[in-house]
Amino acid sequence: MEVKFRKSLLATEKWLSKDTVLTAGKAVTIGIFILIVLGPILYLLFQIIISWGDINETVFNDPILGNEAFLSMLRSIGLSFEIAAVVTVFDIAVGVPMAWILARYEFKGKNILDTFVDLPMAVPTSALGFSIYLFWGTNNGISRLYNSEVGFASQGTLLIIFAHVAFTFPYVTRSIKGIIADLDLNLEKAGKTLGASPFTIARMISLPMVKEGLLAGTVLAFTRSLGETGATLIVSGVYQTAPVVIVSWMKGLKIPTTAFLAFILIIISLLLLTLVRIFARKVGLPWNKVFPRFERKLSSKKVTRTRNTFSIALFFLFVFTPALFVIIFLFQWWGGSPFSGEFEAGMIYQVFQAPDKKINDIVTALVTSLEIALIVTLVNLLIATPMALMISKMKNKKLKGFLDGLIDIPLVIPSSALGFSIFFLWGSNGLHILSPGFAMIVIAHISFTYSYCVRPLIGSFDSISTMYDEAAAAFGASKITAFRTVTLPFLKSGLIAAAIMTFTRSMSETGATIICMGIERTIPVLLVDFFEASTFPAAAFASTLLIIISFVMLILLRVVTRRKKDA
Amino acid sequence: MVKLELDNITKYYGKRRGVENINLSIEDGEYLAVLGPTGSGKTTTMYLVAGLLSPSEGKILFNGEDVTKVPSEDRNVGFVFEEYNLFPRINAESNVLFGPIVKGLDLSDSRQVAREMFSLLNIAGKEMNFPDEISGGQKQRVALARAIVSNANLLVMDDPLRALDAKIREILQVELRNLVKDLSLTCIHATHDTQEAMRVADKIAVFKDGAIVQFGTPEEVYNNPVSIYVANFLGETTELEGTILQEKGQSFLILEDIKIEIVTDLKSGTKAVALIPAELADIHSLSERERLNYDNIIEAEIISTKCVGEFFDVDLIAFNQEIKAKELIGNDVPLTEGNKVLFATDKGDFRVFPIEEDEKNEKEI
Amino acid sequence: MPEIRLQSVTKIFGRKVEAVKDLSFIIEDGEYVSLIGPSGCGKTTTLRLLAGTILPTQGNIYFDDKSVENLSIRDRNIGFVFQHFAIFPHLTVWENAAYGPKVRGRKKSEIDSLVEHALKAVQIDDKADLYPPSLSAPDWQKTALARVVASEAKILLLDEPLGALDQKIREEFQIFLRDLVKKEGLTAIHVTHDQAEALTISDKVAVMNKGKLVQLGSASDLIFTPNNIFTSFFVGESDFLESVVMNDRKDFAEVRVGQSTIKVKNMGIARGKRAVVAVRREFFKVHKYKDKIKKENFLPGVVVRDQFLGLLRRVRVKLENQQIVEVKIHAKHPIRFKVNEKVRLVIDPSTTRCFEYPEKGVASALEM
Repeated sequence: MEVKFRKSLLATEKWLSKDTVLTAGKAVTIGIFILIVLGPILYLLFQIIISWGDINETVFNDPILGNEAFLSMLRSIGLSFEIAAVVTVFDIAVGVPMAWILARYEFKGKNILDTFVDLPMAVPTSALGFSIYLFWGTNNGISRLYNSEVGFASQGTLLIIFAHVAFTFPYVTRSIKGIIADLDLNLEKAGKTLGASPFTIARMISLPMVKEGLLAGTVLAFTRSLGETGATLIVSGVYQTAPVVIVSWMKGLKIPTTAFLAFILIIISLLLLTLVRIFARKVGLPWNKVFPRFERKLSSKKVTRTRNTFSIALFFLFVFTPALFVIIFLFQWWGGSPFSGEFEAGMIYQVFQAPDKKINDIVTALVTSLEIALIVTLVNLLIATPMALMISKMKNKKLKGFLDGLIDIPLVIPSSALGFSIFFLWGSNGLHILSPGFAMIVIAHISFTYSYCVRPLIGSFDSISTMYDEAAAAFGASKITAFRTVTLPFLKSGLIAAAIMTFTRSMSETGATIICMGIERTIPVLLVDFFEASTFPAAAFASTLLIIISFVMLILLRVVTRRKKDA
Repeated sequence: MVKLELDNITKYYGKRRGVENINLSIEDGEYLAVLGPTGSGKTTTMYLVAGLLSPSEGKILFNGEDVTKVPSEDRNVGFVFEEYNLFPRINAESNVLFGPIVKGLDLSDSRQVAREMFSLLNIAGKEMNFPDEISGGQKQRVALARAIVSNANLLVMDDPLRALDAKIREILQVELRNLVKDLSLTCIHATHDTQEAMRVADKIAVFKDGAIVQFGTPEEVYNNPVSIYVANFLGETTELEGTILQEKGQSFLILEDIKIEIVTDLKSGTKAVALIPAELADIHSLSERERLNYDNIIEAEIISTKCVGEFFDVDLIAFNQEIKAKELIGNDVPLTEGNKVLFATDKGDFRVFPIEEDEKNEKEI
Repeated sequence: MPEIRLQSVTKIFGRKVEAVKDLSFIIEDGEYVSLIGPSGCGKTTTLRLLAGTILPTQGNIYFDDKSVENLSIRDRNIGFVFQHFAIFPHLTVWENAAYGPKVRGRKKSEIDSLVEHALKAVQIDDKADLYPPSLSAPDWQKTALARVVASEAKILLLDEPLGALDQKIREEFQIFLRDLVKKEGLTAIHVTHDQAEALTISDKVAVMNKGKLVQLGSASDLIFTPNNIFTSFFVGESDFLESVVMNDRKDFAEVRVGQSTIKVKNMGIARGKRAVVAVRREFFKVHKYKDKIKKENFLPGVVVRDQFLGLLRRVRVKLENQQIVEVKIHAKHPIRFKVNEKVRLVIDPSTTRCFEYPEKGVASALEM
């Protein structure tokens, strides 16, 4: 009986391992990828072209407003670019030394600092934005230090920059920390014996090897800032960045203009991605002139220590404290207003006792968010694993690079633009299969979390030595049998890590959700609603809840990935 | 050029000992080999000399000047690593010119020196190649050129040939020594390979567990190993245990019913172990007995023979026990298994050590 | 019946990297053959071609007259042993050994008896229920071998199987491995960078260089009668004397080296042709010039260095033509040679080899 079952299992796996079947499988994998991720974008592009007339009329030649729509688009894009540029500069200036500290120094609390640096990535940006608004923009936060009645900054460009700095910060640090840690220290030793000072070595030997990672991190930080919605909605006020404009036009049902703006944003992001992927290796730092004395001074202990202290201080001032300030705020407003002591203004009343019973909304939204995240995670694991395997095993380097680049698309394009394309394709303007609501949110989330799932899995597959596959094959195991019996056991922790990443990302998304949600509410969106209704203590309650969930997820992720390293 | 002294150098990594109380003096233009197994403190010593580590105690002197506190980048030590450590993203020539560039030297002079080094080391034509485009042997040659062109007056090499194929290793040993001598550099070369140390060096320092256990010319060290450890590290040996007998100015080791003439100061009755290096255990055919001039000649039986290139590795039974012998190929000796042969040794071939409790323990370790 | 046959096998990677060129050889049933050669010589590629992890660009491979060059590794039924073991860490020793028969769908009782036999054969039956991470490197390699034995493969391919083991354990393992192969009646092909290992463990050794087979023969063939310059150079140590054949006798040939004429082995090179005489460094005998010796077959020279190495001594001698050659002598050789002392290098013609002069010079023949 057992033998019979095993034999038929082996036979099935053998059939599945046939080249034709595998090819079909690959085709399906790519098909799904196109349908979920590329499809909406291509459809948007297609629509822009065929309905150029409409767009021309609304965007450039409106009978009343003329090309005002286009001009405001340009203004919003310009503002987005300015903000993204400032933010990226900060991220690099503080993030690179921070990565160096985390990779190279051993000190007490290093692990905690490491987790703190990653935290803003896991926390939903709307919660983050709210917290930052409270810290910088109201009289509850920093302004208390100098006893001011108003906040340090009002809603607007400066506040947007503060918010974006907080959630983009981890991207640069994270993308080079690992590379710096893996750099061969012996090369630096070699440089030293040849007479180079530490700064010269870092500049001439180490940095060129970190270059690709740094560029990738920079692009991520830049595009994330360019495309963020949740936090921006909260801190922007009337200053409107491009993704926020998409959301607000969408709410006003200005479909053709929204389509056009989404399209421009997507094109810009793709262009950036392509440029970086093409030139990352080629652009060198052929800066061979050395100033031995000056560089030696820069290497001195004093300069190094000052730089490290500054990086850590700036991190805590601009990233960490503002990001978590909401928790303090929550306690301030727990049972009533800290200013007037009024009970009705406090969190307890607003959430649990007021007639509108916000706690019910919160629970419903939380359940919706969890359901969505769960479905999205499961679906993505199913469709991402074969894709990751395919890319990892691909022999044709050019094709591999191309596919690998495509995978990054959802990572760089603004989620509101992506959400809009999905609405456009699946909703009444396109296939007309779905209307905004639960299912559409799920599809949007699958789409933009796809990369978050595929990327770590590719890494996991790459890290499994090919000799195990070869060993299994030498004993006659078919490809699928080898996958089940050998690869899968190695992959366990990689799958868990990918699942947590996907889950967290889905839980925290705002921009795409707003566009595709209809009457459904996820918890980050509910937070924005609370904010707009000025019920801050309730918003703080929801934010803290989200931060706690993300924090738990992050710790889980670290435990899983660390165990993998030990094994 | 430089005279190097290590004065009572000690290095601890936390509680773990790297090296302890190292005293070494290397004359200007001398080639020293530091010989020892993995973990004996070789790399630590190399790093200390180059300033890549600083000692917990002791002083390092270049030409009598204390450089203990001088950072690595100011010591002018050319360092050659086991794994080459060429900078991966720049070509061979840029690797070699890295030193002159970061030191702000006159590049046109350095280019000239680099060109000469490339041709001296048989890598001319590889200047524009990137490290991943050349073989291991070529990489190590580039690394050597890089160390020398940086104006080094002391060359420090940390097991530089370990990662290379045997054939290249053998060729480079000769090249290395010739180059160092031609440029009259002072050189310190760590290796785990006894033959390599003997082949390249003027002097050898044998390391064990972070300390120097013996120092001298290759011949001194080989002929008078100070301990069983050193004797075994220098090559394959067989141990014979017995009792010392001093008789009429001659010394013997008594093994039950056999008397072997040896050289020793130990008193009669002392329990001792005599080591016979395999290459000194000579084998001759029975018919040669009359012509042979050895102190000890005994009949033996060959139990196995294998040819591993330059030597026959032979196991034979003599003195009632199994003895390992190495015979250079090319000597007409009947080495067929089961053959009766003569096993011949001189009294000076045996390295004799008294058996003490500690030494027994040491052996077990 | 020949067990493994390669016929003009060529493997080109990418567009132009010729890893293996026109390779043909036969390995007989039950033979233990080692492949040696400098890194990049194609030995590993050859092993992979036999395994089927890569397929040849041209040529045929036969196992027992069955053409297999287009079969993938799955269908060749070979046993492959890796340098880094490749045993499955999530399976016990027993389960590792059972992997082969299991994925081939064998009955439980058959699997049990195959695994039991295999674990006994490699002497690891006492650790059957342990997981690899709790074992040591030699046990990992034993597990890998047990896995191969249980799979009933008759061809064993070994890729530096002892490379990750310590020197001492390596030497014990060599004997263990050879005994196992012979007892199980396998045909084994073993890639190694360690010449002594190859010469000790195998029936025959194949020397490869630049993707080609240079010589296939027994250990003593390679050491005493190499049939080309590269083998003489690569296996052990030899010096190469450029010469011209002057005379061509039944037992020996007379060649001119610089100003001297010496007798060497006659290997059929015609009179008047250029030749390369290869002499192993152990086969030269070195004498003071003033010593009278009977056999006057010698080259004169001056000593450059007499180096004591314990294991032996190396005397470097500069010949009249300025070439430096090296002689290996016993450490206790009665005479110590002084630098610049005149010496005779006496040569026994029967120990020499005499090869045709390569078109592009001796150096080109030694290129690796």
